[in-house]
Parts: sequence; structure tokens; C-alpha cells
Amino acid sequence: MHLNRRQALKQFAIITAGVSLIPSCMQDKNKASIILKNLQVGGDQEQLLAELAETIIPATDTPGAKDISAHLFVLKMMDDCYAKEDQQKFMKGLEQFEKEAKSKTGKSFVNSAAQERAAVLTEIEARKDKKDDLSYFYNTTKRLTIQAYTTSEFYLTKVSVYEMIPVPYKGCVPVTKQVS
Amino acid sequence: MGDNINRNFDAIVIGSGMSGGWAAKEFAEKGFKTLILERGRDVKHLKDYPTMNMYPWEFEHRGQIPQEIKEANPIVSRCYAFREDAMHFFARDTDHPYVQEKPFDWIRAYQVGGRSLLWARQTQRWSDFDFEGPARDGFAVDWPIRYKDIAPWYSYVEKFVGISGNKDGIDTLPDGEFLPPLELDCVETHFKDFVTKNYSDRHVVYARCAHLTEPQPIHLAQGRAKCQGRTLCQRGCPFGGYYSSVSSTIPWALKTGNAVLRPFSVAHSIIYDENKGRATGVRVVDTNTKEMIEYYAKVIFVNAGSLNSNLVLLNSTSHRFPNGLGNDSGVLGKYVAFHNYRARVSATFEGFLDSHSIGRSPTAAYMPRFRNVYKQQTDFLRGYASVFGSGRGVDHDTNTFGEQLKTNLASKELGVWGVGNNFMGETIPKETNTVSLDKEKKDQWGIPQLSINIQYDDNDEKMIQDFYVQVSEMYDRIGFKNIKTSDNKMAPGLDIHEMGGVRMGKDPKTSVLNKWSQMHACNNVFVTDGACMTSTSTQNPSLTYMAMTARAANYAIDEMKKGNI
Repeated sequence: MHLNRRQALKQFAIITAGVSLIPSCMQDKNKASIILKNLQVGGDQEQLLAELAETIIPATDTPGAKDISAHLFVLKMMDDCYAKEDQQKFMKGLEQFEKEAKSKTGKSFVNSAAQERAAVLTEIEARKDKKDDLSYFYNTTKRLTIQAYTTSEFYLTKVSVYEMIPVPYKGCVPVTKQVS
Repeated sequence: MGDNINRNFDAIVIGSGMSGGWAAKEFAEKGFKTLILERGRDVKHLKDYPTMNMYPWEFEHRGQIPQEIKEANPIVSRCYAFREDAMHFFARDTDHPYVQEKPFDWIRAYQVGGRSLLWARQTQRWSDFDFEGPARDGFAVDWPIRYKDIAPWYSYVEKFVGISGNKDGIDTLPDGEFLPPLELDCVETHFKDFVTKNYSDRHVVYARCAHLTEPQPIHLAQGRAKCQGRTLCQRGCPFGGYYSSVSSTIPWALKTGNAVLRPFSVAHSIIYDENKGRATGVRVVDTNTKEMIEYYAKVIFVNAGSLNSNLVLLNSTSHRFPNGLGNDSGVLGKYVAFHNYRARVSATFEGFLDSHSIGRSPTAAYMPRFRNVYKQQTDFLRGYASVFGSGRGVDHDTNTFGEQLKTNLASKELGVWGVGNNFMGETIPKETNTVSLDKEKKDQWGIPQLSINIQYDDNDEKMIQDFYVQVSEMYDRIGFKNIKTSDNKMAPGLDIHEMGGVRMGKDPKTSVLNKWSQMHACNNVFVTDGACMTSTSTQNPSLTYMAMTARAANYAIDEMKKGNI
């Protein structure tokens, strides 16, 4: 069953990437919209992350990364659950990502067209095994974006349903084709 | 509790967890005024399970522990269950320091219920191959009991706790009082059939577990209901589907009106009356006020959790017992042992691709010990049991991005089966594996810190190698692929099966407790948690602690009635 994206948004009011993701009242361009303890993230960097996450998991006829605030989850996790040195790598990689995107398309990632963004990611995907800050930033952002998406209320109620109380256990039954 | 409160009881139970709950239940149920001391906060069934009904997306970090907490608490952070959904049930390293003479990850849960809220709920009986082990193989001392002594108490405990199991008729794994088993999955059954057919000395069975698959009136009377297969047990179960003292024995004891529960009460030491030649009570430090209070009773059950029971006794010094209560033999704090959980063999299986399991099972398959059972076969002593589990899930291809990635993440295509055996090795209790009191360092209540000096030995290393060889060979023969062996190198302690230090034995010269888990030298003190264990077997120990406790408590009750205690 495919759910219309707008319906989905209406139905779930999906802003649940994290309980304490409280947007600040005054939107300051130079500050992230959530309170971070360790990372120094500007408003434009947050916007970049949002567009990057959206390029990784775009909205189609169902919600994408931005709709579920995956980029804020990335920031929250990076801020709370990673070691100082990883946070530094992440921030350096973020800057390099923006430079890389600019040198490729001539404009900032945020102002690039969808196709241009895809071209940037194709290039970075090809070099993602490199042990540098750019790869670290990209791979971590991608992994956390996927985690945000696959553990979101939308995904766990509409795509791959998580049952708090599952059907009674049966050890060995034929796999039935699921209608999706 | 102020000074006006009665401080005299028939029985004091130190600890409210796996075994303390049982001592409290037995005394209270039989009409004895009982004080239950718990060092941590109170936890009430249902009321104090804040995460029990939370969905995955409701956790701020989706289960992960924040870095700040990890860095401040490296020891408990290594425990598999120390996650965002259950971390409030674990004691923090920072609050409860101890001394590691050698690396030892001491995992503690300081609240009513203790670690019984968090356990893996595996409940296999021990057999005479375990109780006869030390005597046959010449280590530690002979157990003063045999299987027949404890068998009726296993039954007694199992009926109340609720154990799901299958009567398998195996020497090494005696049958019990079982609620119906769940099914094994396709590959677990396949492995079981293969092993039965090809190895006369080996068995694969449904791993018995403390889950209510079909609640009986005695379970309903406790307010517990059928296990719903949520497998979120570590959060506390809204159904009481698995056993914990919080959902079962503690409220049962309190309901009699004969028991008083005193949380925030660290046992400092047991009071010994030199004139009477017996213990008269327990000194407690109130963790909030830091005030020391004495409580008195005719009999004292020490169920503080293996190593903390050692600590309380070591700290209970008197003119008669300068080296710790009941420690005439000098073995108190020695011969501590544990289970070796370091090794794993895993593989994949490409059969049964048209099948899978549905729902979630709280247990798996179990292979009781098959090495050195009937005779010595190897160059190491004893052996290992292991849990066999299999399963298959969706393996999403994430090597892309954009709409393709989104499509991949929606895939329901199942991957091949993953299988694995987790090793649980018996370790040999040795005089050199010890706990003692640090001479200078104290905790925040002025109680000496425990100093732990425990390590693996050659026997453990040899056993791991044998496990790799035996399991890999079985896997190879059955046709599992990608067979991998791994050693997680975990320090002792992380198995959370630490035992001994206050061992039972026949001879007061070489043991602290007699066959009733009663002190040879002070007959109104009983130690019935893991500390009393003479050896460790290869089976998960909690069921045995509970049976030992029920047995000892009923013996103590008889002795009190006869006026012997």
C-alpha cells in the first residue's frame, strides 16, 4: 500500500526524530535550530545537512528524510553519542563536503538542483572507502539518516510494521509474498 | 523509618533480587516477621517500568547510550543490556567504585529486584554431573549435596516461577515442572535432528526459560499473565510474562503482611554477639541520611548478590571472627569462579529459503555439556554448554542513495539464515581467584571497597579451542557455510555469573557453609545466593540459587520451630 505523502504527513505529524528536538523560537541563520552541547553548527550547515539527507532519502509519494527531520537526528546523535575526535572529523568533513560540492557544480550544495546534488553524491559514493574526514562525514550522515528513517514512526507503522505485541511465535512457516 | 519503628524481626534478608525474593517469600508466607533490606531504590511492578511501552522511535538516541555516560561508566557500558531502554536499572560505575587487581567487569543492579529484572531468563537444572564434578575431577571441595537433595526444591521453585520447557530425558539436563515449550525455528530443528542422528553423546533441546507460556492459577494469583513474545523483558514486563522478584516473590511476601521492605539500606555488616555465640542483627547505612541503624533478628539470610555477600561477611568482624564472619577456615573470599562467555562460532545456512519464523521467541536452542561427561576425554577439565540460535532477516542493500535506496529499504526480501553457538564454559574455582576488602578505599557510605583479583587460566583457553573445533566440525558436516570463530576477549565478570567465595562443603576446615548453606561456625546465618556455590557447572545459575534459597529457608524455619536456631 502506498500512502500519499501529504496524507501521511497530516496523519502522523512526523517530527519525531527525537523527543528533545525543540526548535528555537527565533530562527537565527547562524545557529542550528536545536540545542547542541558539543557541536558548533550554523543554520546554513544545518540546511546543508537537511538537503544532503533528503538527497540520500528523498520524498517521493511517501515522506523523505526532511519530513522526518532525519538531519536533526544526525546532529543530535553526533552531538550526544560520539567521541570528541569523531565530532571534529565530522565537522571538518562537513566543510570539505561543501567545498567539494562547490568545486563540482560551481554553487553551494543547498542552491544546487537535484541532479547536481545527485552528481556530487555519486562521486562521493565512489570514494567512500577512503579513510578521510569527507568519507567519515558522508558515511556517518548516511548511516544515521538511514537509521532515522528506518526507526521513524512512519517507517515502522507503514513500511515495515513494528508490532509491540507480535503474532504468537511460529518457528517455521512458509514465506508468503507480502503485498506492498 | 524513625526510632519508633520496630527494629526486631524474626528474619532479615539482605537483598531483594533473584534469591533474596525467595527467602523473603518463604519466611513471610510461613508467618515469620521479615525485614527485606535493599541497598537501592524501590521498584514496584508496572509502576516503575518507565520504558515498558515505548516504541523504538520514542527513544531519543534510538537505544544508544550517550557518550558522556559511556565515558564516565566504561564498565557497565560493556554490558549488552545497558541500553537507553534499561539503563535506569543498572548501577553506575561512578557511584559504586571497586578495585580491579585484574580486569573484572562487575555488573550490578541496585534496586528492588536487582538483576532479576535484567536476566536472560535461562533456567536449566544442574545435574549430578555438576554436583559430583569437584570430587571426581579433584578441584575445589566436594559439594555437600547431590541432585536428589535439591531436585524437589527445583520443582517447588519452578512451579511458582513458571518455566517453559520440554521434557527431554537427558542425563546432563534433568527435566522439571514445565509449562509448554515454544517451537524451535526451522534451522534450530534441523540442527537438533542432525545432532541427534549423528552424535550419540550430544543433544540440542529447546532452551528452558522463565516465561509464562501458559499461566497457571499460581501465576495468575501473583498478578502475572501470559508472555506476549515482546522480547522487551529488560524494561520490565507489563504482563509479568517473565519472572523477576519484582513481579513475583517480593509483592507476594509483602502481601502476607509479615514482610517489611526497606530500600536505600546498604548492609554494612552482620552483628555478632560474642556472649550468645550467634548473629543478632544487621548494621545498615541509610543511603540518603548516611545514618547507621541496627536491625535485629533470629536468623539472617545473606542474598546481597555473590560478591556483595562476600563483602558483607568480610566486613563483619568481631573478636571471635577477626577475618570475617564464619571465616575460621580462611577460605572466605577465595575460590571465586564464573562462566566463560568469550567464544562464539557463527555461520550461514542456505537451506529453508522458502521458510522463516514469525513473531518473536524469548529463547532459543540449548546444547548441554557433552565434553568430559562420563569420562575424562580432553586435556582440560570440565566443559561447556552453548546456546544455539538461528534466524533470518531482511538485508537491505544500502550501497546507493536516492529513490533506489528508499526502494531497497522497503524491501521485504529475506536473506539467508544466520546461525551461531555461544559458549558458556565452566571455570575451575581456584584459591587465587579472590575478593577482599581494600585496606584504605571506602565507598560513599564508609564501607570498604571490594578488591577483585580474578582471571582466566589455561584450562579456559584450551576449552575455547576445543569448542571451536567441535562446533566448526558439526557446522561443516551439516552444510553451514562461512563458519567463523570469534573471541570477544571479555574480562571475567561480564558473564554476570560470578559465584563462590562463601562456598558450601562438608568440612568446616575448608568451607564456610554446610549442606544447608548455613554457616558452620554461626548457625543462624545462611548465604544462599551465588556466593555459596562450590563449583559453577555449565548451566545458567539463577534457577539453582532460587532452589537453594527455598530449601535453606525451609530448613531454617524447621530449625527455628524446633528451637535449634
